[in-house]
Amino acid sequence: MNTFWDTLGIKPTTDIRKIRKAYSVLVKEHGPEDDEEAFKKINSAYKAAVNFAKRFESMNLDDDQFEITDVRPDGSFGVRITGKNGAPPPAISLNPAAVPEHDDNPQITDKLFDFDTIDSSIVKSFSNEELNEMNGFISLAPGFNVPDNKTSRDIRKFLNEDYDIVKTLAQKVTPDSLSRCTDDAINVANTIITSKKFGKETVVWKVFFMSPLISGLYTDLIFYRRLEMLINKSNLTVTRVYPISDASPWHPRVYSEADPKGSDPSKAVCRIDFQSRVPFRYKKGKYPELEKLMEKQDKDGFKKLVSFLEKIPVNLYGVLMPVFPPVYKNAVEDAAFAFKYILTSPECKDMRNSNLLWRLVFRGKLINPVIKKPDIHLALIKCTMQTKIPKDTLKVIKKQMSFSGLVLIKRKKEDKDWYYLQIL
Amino acid sequence: MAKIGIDLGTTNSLAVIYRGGESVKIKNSLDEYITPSAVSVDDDGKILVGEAAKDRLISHPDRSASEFKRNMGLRTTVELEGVKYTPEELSSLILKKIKADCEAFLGEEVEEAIISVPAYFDDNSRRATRIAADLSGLHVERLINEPSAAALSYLSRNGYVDGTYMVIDFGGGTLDVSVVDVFENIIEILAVAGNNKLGGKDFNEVIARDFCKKNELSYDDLSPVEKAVIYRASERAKIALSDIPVVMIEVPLEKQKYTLTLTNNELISMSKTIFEGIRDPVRKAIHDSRKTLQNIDKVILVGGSCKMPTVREFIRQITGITPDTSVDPDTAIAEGAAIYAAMKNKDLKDIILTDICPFTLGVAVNNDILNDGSIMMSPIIPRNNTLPSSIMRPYYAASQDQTGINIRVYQGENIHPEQNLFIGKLELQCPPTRRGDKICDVKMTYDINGILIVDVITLDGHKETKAFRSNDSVLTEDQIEKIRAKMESAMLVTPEDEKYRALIARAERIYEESFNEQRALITGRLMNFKAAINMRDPIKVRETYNSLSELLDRLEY
Repeated sequence: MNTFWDTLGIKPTTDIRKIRKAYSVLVKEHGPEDDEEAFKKINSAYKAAVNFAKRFESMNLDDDQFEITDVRPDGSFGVRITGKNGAPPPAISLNPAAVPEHDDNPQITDKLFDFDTIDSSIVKSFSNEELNEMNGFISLAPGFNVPDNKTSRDIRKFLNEDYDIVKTLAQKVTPDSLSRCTDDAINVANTIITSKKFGKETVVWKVFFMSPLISGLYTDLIFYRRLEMLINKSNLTVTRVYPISDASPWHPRVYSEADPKGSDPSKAVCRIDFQSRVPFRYKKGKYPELEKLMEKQDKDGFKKLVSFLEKIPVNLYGVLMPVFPPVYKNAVEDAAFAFKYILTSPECKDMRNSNLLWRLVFRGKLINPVIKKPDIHLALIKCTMQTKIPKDTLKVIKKQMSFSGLVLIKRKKEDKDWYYLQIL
Repeated sequence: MAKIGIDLGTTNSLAVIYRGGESVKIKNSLDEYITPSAVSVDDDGKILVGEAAKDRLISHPDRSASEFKRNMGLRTTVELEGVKYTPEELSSLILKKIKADCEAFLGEEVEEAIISVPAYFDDNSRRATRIAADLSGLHVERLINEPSAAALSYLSRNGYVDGTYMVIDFGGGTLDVSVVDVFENIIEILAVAGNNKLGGKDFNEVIARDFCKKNELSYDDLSPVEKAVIYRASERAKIALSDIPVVMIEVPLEKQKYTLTLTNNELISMSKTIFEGIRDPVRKAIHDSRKTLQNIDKVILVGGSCKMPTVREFIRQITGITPDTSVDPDTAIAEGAAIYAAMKNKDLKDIILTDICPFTLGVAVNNDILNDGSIMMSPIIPRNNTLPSSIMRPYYAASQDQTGINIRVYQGENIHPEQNLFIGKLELQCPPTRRGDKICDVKMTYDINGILIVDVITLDGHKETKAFRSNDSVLTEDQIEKIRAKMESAMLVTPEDEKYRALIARAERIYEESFNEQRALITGRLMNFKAAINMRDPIKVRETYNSLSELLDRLEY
């Protein structure tokens, strides 16, 4: 079977001009007007070649350093990289997929999509032997190596033979196949989750997250959300969720729900939250929703709020302003989390009486749309029942939530001030 | 046998032919290049198209229609004098006039036409455009996306220089943004984004509403004639603001004069949402092209609304690049369509255009993550994929021992299929399959003529094929004949007649817009002209025609 390089009639290269030259000669012969089948083949080879070139761009390789290996029947192949003039092969550093970063999209922040750090952090998490094995091979071909012991042999068998996961994960990520890949990726994740034995192996998840397929989805928000929904729907226990969060380059937030049947903490059901981990970094125009909400509000207060949101270790903004409409249960969880965090954590001490912060809480995209739902009330009531609210904070909360039709009622208990919520 | 390109616009339409290495604009029967996309029914039941109809939008709003391109593919109708017209039928009247004008101008038959459509037209709207062509008797094999046409026109004038271009086509009713790579005489459209409900018309509406607000009138309670007068005045103010800093709008209504002064800055602050609407497609097009703003070498503006200095400035600010406005925004798209017609017929060799499908095509599948019986979209051909393209995907059984496959094809980006455009369905039997096992492969092929072919291949090798083509008229030959007959009976007779009717329409429009003292003048000369026509005295007609048109020229500016 021919690789796309054979279709173009050139050797592997990172020089886009060479690729274009070859493409233009072919396409003038077989244009979209005359020969559809041939054009389709040439065009997809061209796109694959450009994508290949972009992925290797940062390594500054000469054309003769590429060696094509393992050509498979569908035309996909592995690439071995040789050193210059007999020198040892250089370390691999790839752009996972040719998707540029976007600086004006609020969901896409510098940290999350810094491909270099993601790649190096993955590399760091492997042992030296593993790295030696991996060096020179970039495709996650069937020969992908994990240490040779009983567990790893089992894992390899699981990935390669039982479910053929590796082949799916190693599938060629071309720009035009991105949206299809989301389905495949979710299918693979589902297979791993439903496997009792291997779902808790961190290394399996590492293979999953570092594979070319998933790395091509770094900018695909739908993918996070679907993965998140899949994991949360599966009611996994702590031992099953932590391997996923450990292996994930996005370090998602994990929080546990009480065990529905008993009190055994190891059986508690866990939830995972990818999006609240996208760090908040304010830049003018980057968060139009926040700016709109704070329009006509106190300018200094806004600056203070922004620097507070940037400073705290938790992405409170991500919790209060979810990108996607919150799944209903998540909204209750997140609201309780945000409330408790603001009222009790020492990091929020200075901001507890800030009008703007409470405005964000009550008018943000998390609570505002569902404020009339009884579950939200229960969560808020529970939270305020357990927490002492100082008098001046109460005033601010009262003011900011007044538009919602809810009223805070003060309740005295012995000589402490307690407050709880009442629905009017 | 001529092959022409037609820009069938929201407000204006135009035809161009590519001959001897350059594009030639075609003049219509009134000796103008541009034919307004307006249709009106005259007092005697004849149908007027073009300039005359545009004037009658003001004097007879209930008998006239325009901007029907915005409704192409929607099942709406406009009622003019008791006859209901679909947007397709109205567009076919425009095309029919253009065809007749071209044939008169060129002295030969029009063999084939390429019509431009906004890239963001969905399958329904494209189908409607083809139906309009069928009704008008034009042979149309291919539609071209407007931004691709604009890029072609720009590049043919500037010599296919390598680079990455962003083409922003902001017309009367639609906005399209495309990112184009040019290398080695290959024009590769990388991505298209747009909004087919945003255009220069929205500025007119904003100004008209502001005018009413400041004058304490209620826009929604005005009569159609009053609305039309204010609307037209707003449009003129918008155009005037391109050259002068301040304009004064003056509208006479019920013997009272209402005025408003307007500056560019005021217009900007009123039109915030419109500008926001421009920003999104620009961002999306760059994102989808997998480029960054730094990779863009040139920004090219086309479309009438790009004549507005505020729009240019806004685009300069969001892209950081001074946009190139050297192409004539009114004619670029028709020129591009004509060049494309030449390319298609090999009159123009060595230039290759590869275009894309701006929408995702996919099928509905069971939601296997939530598993709650809901369905979701499974994309097969992703948006911005080069045409022609064909992609195959496997699908798995959703229920135990499944024996039937029900493929529902959708077009659109939403994960919920019901939010997308339903294109068609395909049902077939298959051998019983266990839940979760592969049940079939679905292959979608979308070619450059807009024909979608869906193949379903089951595991036992059975293959079921269905073609969904947007040039497949949903109408039968009989229906087409019927509709043609309905409009034929009311079509215009001679170019003379059209010229006279256009002048009368113009006089009546200016009458609506003028003050009392001028109205008396117009009435006098108009009545003389009408009397002369009735008497069929050619000398008298010519005299009164000249005196009326001279008066109107004087009154208008």
